[in-house]
Amino acid sequence: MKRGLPVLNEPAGSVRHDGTRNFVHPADVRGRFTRARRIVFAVLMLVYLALPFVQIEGRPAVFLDVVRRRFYLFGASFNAQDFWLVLFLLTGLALGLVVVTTLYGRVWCGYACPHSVFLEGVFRPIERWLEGPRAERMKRNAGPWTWSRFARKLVKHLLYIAISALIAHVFLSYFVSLPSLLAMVSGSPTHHLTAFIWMLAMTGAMYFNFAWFREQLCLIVCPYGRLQAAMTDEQTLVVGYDTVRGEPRGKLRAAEGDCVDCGRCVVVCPTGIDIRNGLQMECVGCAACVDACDEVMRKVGRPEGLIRYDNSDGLAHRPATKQRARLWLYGAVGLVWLVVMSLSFASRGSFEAHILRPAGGAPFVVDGERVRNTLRVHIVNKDDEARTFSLDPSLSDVEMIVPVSTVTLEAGGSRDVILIANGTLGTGGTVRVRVTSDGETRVLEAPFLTSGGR
Amino acid sequence: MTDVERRVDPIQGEIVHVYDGIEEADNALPKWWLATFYGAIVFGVFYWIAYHELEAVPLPREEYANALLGSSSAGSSASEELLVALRDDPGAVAVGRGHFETYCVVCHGERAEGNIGPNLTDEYWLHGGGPTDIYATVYDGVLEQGMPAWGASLGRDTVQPLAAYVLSIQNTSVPGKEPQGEVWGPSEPTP
Repeated sequence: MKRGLPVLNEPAGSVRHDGTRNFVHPADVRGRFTRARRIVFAVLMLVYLALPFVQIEGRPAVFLDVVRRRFYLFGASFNAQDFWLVLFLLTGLALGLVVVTTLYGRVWCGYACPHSVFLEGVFRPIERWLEGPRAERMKRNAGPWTWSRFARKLVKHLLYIAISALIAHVFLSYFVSLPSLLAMVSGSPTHHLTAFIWMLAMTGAMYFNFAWFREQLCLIVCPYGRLQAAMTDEQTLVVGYDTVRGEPRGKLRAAEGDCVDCGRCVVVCPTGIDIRNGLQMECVGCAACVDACDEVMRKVGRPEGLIRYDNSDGLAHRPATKQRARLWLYGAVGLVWLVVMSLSFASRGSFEAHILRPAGGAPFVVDGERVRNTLRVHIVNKDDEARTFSLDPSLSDVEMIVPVSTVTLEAGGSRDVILIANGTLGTGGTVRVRVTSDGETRVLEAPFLTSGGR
Repeated sequence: MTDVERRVDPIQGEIVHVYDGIEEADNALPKWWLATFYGAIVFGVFYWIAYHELEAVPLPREEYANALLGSSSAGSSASEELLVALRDDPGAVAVGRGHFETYCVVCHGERAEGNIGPNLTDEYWLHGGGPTDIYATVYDGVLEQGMPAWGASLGRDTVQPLAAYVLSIQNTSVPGKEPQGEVWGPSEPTP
């Protein structure tokens, strides 16, 4: 070895036994998985940043308009009434995560989780750029406060705050859309205080997370790592150390195992663990130790893959487990999910019709005997083409005034029709409106109210 | 629990409890975690004093009531200048006309000539015919005379063009319901 590699000189793990934080300073690492990760990070960051600019049919591709309760997702638009469909989205995502974890372990954590993407793709490279590699960084941190150290830290944290603010703005733009975000940014904060406070809180949370909290999020806050033990089996692809090949470990030529105990796999680990202790909750599947060990193995002239992506059977050199009942179970659950979702979508109907009372439209006593109710029929055409709806109030047992009896709505269009119901004090009754379109009928009912008015 | 000799694991620390082969160490909680724990206790004390003892901050129920009060009043959500500018903007008036046809025609008639509600095209007004008067009447309603408060359900973005449309048809004198109220202001023709 021409150049000495940084070696382990402190106990592993990011929390010491007394509860104090052991700040992890991962060493630099090169290799095919590190390269692959950087490419994926760059692509994902580009997607996050570009998404607010993407327009589909004149609408932002992703715009969750919470204020107006209308949600635009890649050309499709959903109303608040369609919110229950989120059930299928969330259960589908959860099932997908379980299946992917069973097959490929924590690839999500290592390659696609936004926390990893921004931490490893932006924040750690900035730290490396300003404060140098692991050894230099740790030496300077242990030493006195010099001007050089102060200036490096100051620039780093200012950059961190700026990038946190940028991420917060991008995140906010998904909820308010880009044009109104730009309008808010150029305006005074007092005109949109709520959004401004959200932006500040988001920036603060991002800065705290990426500047200091880091792997603690994965280790102690995120539940996914804890579920890992329940989701993986002997055939799940994990990052593992080949104990059979590596042990007994020791100095080159002094021991029989392939592991030269250089500690490279430990110093490159972003969560500060020793992968040679086996699969651990803290492992986020980043494969930094795989690249680090492969580099060492090449240098000492031993085959690569002492630490590698493999399943538990392969790492233990035993025959592959054939029975994987959980995959059949997931398949069955997925089938139920698909059937229930298809049935739900099929029975959704092509339009929504609801009868409401406008706020402030309390029953109104006209002249001590006659009572008037104002009602509002809300129709949403969920079809892909224009439809005509007819309103028929003849089933009501009170006198009805309907200003328009047919309404034509374009695809996705909606409108209100205001109806007046006239009854007498004390008799009550029921308002019934039959809404018909292309043979599909919905009967809306509302009680006729005679009290509560002035 | 199995009695085992206490041993110190190099990674886990001192093993204090073993059950079915599962070893348990007793390490301190992370310091930052304890900080959130004690922080929550301190926050709880302040919350209790501020919300329940001093009653300095409204509880969610009161906050909701306050929000309802706030939204049921037109207040300053449209100025006279804005409404006049909207009246002179054909786009805004067209939008307002659409809203009028949806929400208003049932009582005021298709040409605003009046039906259950008064004629909006004559020079007589019950609640004032100025821009902010009309806006406030639509927004807050006149509940004792059967006019709903549209502001709460439609919001100012809808009520503003609606009021602009009503202003644009002011004094066009469509024959309809008999005059109600008083002659409003100097009956100048709308430009």
